[in-house]
Amino acid sequence: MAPDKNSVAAGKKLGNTKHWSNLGYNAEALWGECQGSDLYQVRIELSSLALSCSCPSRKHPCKHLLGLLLIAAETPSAIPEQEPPTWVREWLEQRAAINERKTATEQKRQEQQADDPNETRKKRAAKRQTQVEQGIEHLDLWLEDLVRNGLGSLETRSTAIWEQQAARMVDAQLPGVASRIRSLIAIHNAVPDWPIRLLTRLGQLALLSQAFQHIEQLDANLQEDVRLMLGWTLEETEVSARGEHLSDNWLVLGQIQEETPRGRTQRTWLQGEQTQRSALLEQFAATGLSFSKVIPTGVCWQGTLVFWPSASPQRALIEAHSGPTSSITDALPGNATIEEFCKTVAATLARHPWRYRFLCTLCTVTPVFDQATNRWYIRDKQGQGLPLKASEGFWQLLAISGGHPLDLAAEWDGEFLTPLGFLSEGKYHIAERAA
Amino acid sequence: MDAFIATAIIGTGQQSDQAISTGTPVDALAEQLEQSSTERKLLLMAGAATVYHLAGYTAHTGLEIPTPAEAERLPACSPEIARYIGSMLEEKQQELLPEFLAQLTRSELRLPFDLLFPALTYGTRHKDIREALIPTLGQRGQWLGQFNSAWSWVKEQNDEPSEDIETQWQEGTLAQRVQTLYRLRAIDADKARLWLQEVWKQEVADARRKLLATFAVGLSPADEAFLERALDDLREGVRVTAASLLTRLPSSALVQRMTARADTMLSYQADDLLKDAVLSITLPEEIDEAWKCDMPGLKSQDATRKAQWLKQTLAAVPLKHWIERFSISLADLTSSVKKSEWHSEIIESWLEAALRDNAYQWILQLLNCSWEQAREIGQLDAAYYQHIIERLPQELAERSIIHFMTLRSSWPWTTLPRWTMSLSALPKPWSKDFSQWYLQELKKHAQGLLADKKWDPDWYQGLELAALSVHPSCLDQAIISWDTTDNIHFYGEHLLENVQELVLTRQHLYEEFKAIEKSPL
Repeated sequence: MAPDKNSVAAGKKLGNTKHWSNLGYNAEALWGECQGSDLYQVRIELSSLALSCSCPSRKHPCKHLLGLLLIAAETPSAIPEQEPPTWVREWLEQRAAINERKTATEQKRQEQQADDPNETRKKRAAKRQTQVEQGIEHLDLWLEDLVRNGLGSLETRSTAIWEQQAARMVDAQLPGVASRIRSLIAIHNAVPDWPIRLLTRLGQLALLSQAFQHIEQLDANLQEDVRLMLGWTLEETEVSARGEHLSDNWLVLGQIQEETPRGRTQRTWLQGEQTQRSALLEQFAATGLSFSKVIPTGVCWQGTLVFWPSASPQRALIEAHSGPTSSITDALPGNATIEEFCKTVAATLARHPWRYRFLCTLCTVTPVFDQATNRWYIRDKQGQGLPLKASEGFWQLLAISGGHPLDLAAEWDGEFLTPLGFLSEGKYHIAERAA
Repeated sequence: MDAFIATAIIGTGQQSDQAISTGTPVDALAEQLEQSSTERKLLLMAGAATVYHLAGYTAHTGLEIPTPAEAERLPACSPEIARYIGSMLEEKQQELLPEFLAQLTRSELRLPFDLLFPALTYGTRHKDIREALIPTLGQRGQWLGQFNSAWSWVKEQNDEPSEDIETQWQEGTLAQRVQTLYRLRAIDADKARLWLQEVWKQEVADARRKLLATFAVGLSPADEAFLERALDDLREGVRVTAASLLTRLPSSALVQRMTARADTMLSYQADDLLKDAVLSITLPEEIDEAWKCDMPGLKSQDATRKAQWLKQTLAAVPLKHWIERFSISLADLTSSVKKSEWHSEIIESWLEAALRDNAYQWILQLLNCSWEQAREIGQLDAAYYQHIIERLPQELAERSIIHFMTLRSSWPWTTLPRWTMSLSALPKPWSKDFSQWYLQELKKHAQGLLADKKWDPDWYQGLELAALSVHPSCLDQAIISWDTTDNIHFYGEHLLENVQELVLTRQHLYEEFKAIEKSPL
C-alpha cells in the first residue's frame, strides 16, 4: 500500500516503538504520536481503514502511517487497548459527520434526478444512442478497411492511426472502444507476432460491435456488459441500487498497478472465503495524484461487496466492512488443479466472451524455474503448468517455496500468470514486482 | 489457421474470393452469419476464435519439480532484526552488515526466506561480504543458489570437503583445488607438497602462485627445497610468493644468505665516552645476480634502488639477530639509527621483520621511532600505518593508536596526519576500554572545534567510525547530544544525523539480539 519504495524504507524505520508515544487502540481506531521534526498525530479508523496523519507530507499513506501499521502488524503487544485521546475522538466524530453529510447529499441528488422530467432524460438518451450508432457504424467501416488492405500494410504506418480512431470514438460517446483502440499502440510493430495479436483484438472489437447491433437478443446482464465495454458508466449509487450485494469473509489477495498515458490504474483482487467468488476493485489516479482509497492487501475482513451488473460479475466496490481486519493465514479457497481452473475460465467466457482477466487461485502448486529456457512456471500436483510472465523474476516465490508446494493467487490473462501473493506455512506473502 | 492469418495480413482485397477457415468449430458458427462481407466475416471469426482458444487453453506438461530444499537446522531471526538487515541489503547503513551477519551466526540464527533473494543479489555484487553471508543463508539459501549461475559462489565457498579429496584435487576448479590444498596442508603438509610437486610443471603461472601460497599453512623446513626451486620460476609472482614464504623460515638458506649480506651493510659502534652509538650503513654499488634472485619483485633501477636493496635485505633478517649480534636492547638499536640518512628504510624493514615473526613486543617501540621521524620531517604516510595496524592483534593495535593519538597533540596543525585511516584498520567492534577512551577524546576535540567553528574532516569521519565501531556496551555513550546551534558546519549537521542513526540502529539491534539471549555482548 506504500506509494513508492522510498516510503517503504522510511516506514520501516518508523516501525519501531522507540519513535512513538501514546500508542493505543480500541474497537474503532488505532493511534499514536510520532516524533519527527514535529510531533505528528497518526490515526487509523479500523472499519474503513481510513488513514490520517498531521504531517505535511503529500504522500499517502505517509511514512508515519506505514510505521504505525508495521508496529500493529509485527508487535501488536506494544499497543495497549485504551480509551482514545481527544484528538482521536474528535477525528472519528468528524468522519461520522462527513459520512452523514455525504449520504444526505446523495439522497438529495437522487431525489432531484427523480424529479427531472422524463422527457429531458429521454431526449438525452436518444441523442446518445444516435451518436453511438453512428460511431459503431464508423468503427465497422474502419475495421473492415484494415483487413481489406491487410494488417501487413500497417507495418509502414505510424501508430497515430490508432490515436486518431480513438479520438473519433470518444466523440461518438464510445470511450470504452477508444480505450481498446489505444491499447493497440502497444502491440503495433512492438512484438514479433504483432499481426496475430492485432487480429485477435480487432476481432474482439468486431464481436463487440456485433453484440451492440443485436443487443436486444442478449441476456439483460450481458447487455449491461456490452454497454459498459462500449463506454457507458454507472455511478456508484446506481451500482449499489442495481448490483448484486454479496457478504463474505473477503481475502484481499493482491494488487497490480499499471501506468497509462493519463495516469495509473490499480486492480485489487479479492476472493470470498465461503462463496469463493472473485471480485476486482479498480481505481484510477491521474498523473501525480495518489489513489483515493488505500486498500491493504494480504488481509481478510468480513464485509459486503456490490458488483457491477454483469453476466459474469467481476468488478465490485466495497459497501461495508463489518468486522476486524486480520492477516490471511488459512489455505486459499482456490482450485485444486490447473485443469479445474481452466474449466472455470471456459465457463466464464461462455457467459462473458470479452473477459480477458481472471483471478487464478491454485492450491498446492510448486514454482518451477526452467534454467534451459529461462522461463518460470507454476506446476500443480497433476504435473500441468501455467507460465509466469516472462518479464518478471520470481526468486522470492522460489525462495519461500523451497521446492515445496504452496497456495498461489495470480491474475491470468490467457497467456501468463502475474502472481499477486502466495501462502506458505501459514503466512501470506504479497508477490514482489520487478522495479 | 495459418491460411486464415495470412489472409488477414495480406488483406482480403488481395485474395481471390475463397472460403476462409480457422480450422476450428468457429467455422460452423460463421456459416450461420447473416449476409456479411468477407471482411466482416473474417473479423468476427477472428474474435470468436480468440474466445475459443482462451477457453480451450492447454496447460504445459513435462515440468520437473526440483528436489525440495532440506529442512532448516537454525531458526530464522526475528522480524525486527530481519527488517534492519533487509534495509542493509538495500545498501542503507550497509556498513553495519558484516557486524550483524556475524552476530546472526554467533546467535545461531539465519535469514528468513524472504531475505534470501536480496542477500544473494547483494553477495553477488559485494564479494567481500560473502564469507559472512553464507552461514546465514541456511539450507534454503544453499538450495536457491543452484538456480542462478551468478550465485555459484554460494556453493563454491561452502563446499564441504569431498570424501574423495583427491578427486577434488584432480578434477576441481582452481578455487576448489586451492581450498583442497589449504585443507590438506593443515592435515598433512608433506602430502600436500608432494601433490603439488607432481603437477607443478603443468600448472599455469597464476595457478602456481595461488597453490604455492597454501604453504603458509603448516610451513616447515621440509618445504624449503621446493620453495628454493620456485625462486627460479619464470613468473615473478611465483618467485615473490616463494621468497615471502622462505623468509618465514629462519633456518632457511635464503634467510642465511640475506643475513650474511645484511651483516656487510650494518655495523654498530658505541662511543662510551660520549654515551652515544651509531649504526653505520654501507651499501654496495652493485649487487650480484644471486642477490637479485633472492629479492624478486625489485622494480627500480634508478637512484632508489639502493634503498630497496637495503629494505628487502633487512626485512628478510629476524630482528633479534641484530639485538643478539650487537648485544644491545632494541631501544639502543633504534636510537643508533636516528641520525642515519637511511633511518626510515631501516625502521620500516625492522617493522616488517617484527610483524612477520610475530615479535609484537618490539612493534610499539618501532612505531614510535617511525612517528617521531615523521613528525620531524612533517610528513606521515597514513596508508602505510593503516597497513601495519591491520596486521596487529587487536589489543596491540588499539594501544598503538592510543599512543599515536597522544603524540599527535604535539603535531603542528598544518601537518596533522589523517589518523582516521589507522582507526579504520582496527577490527570491529573496538574493545570496551578503547571505545570509552575514544569517545572521551572525541568529545574533548569536538568542543574545541565547535567553539572555533573549525571544519575538520578527520573529526567527522572519526565520529562516523566510532558510530560503527564502539563496543556495544558503549553505544549509550555514543549517543551524544551535541550543542551545535549556529556552530556547526552545514555539511556536519547531515553527518551528525547519519551518525546518530547508525548508533541507534546498532543499539536497537543489540537489544533485539539480547532479547534472544543466545550470545553475550
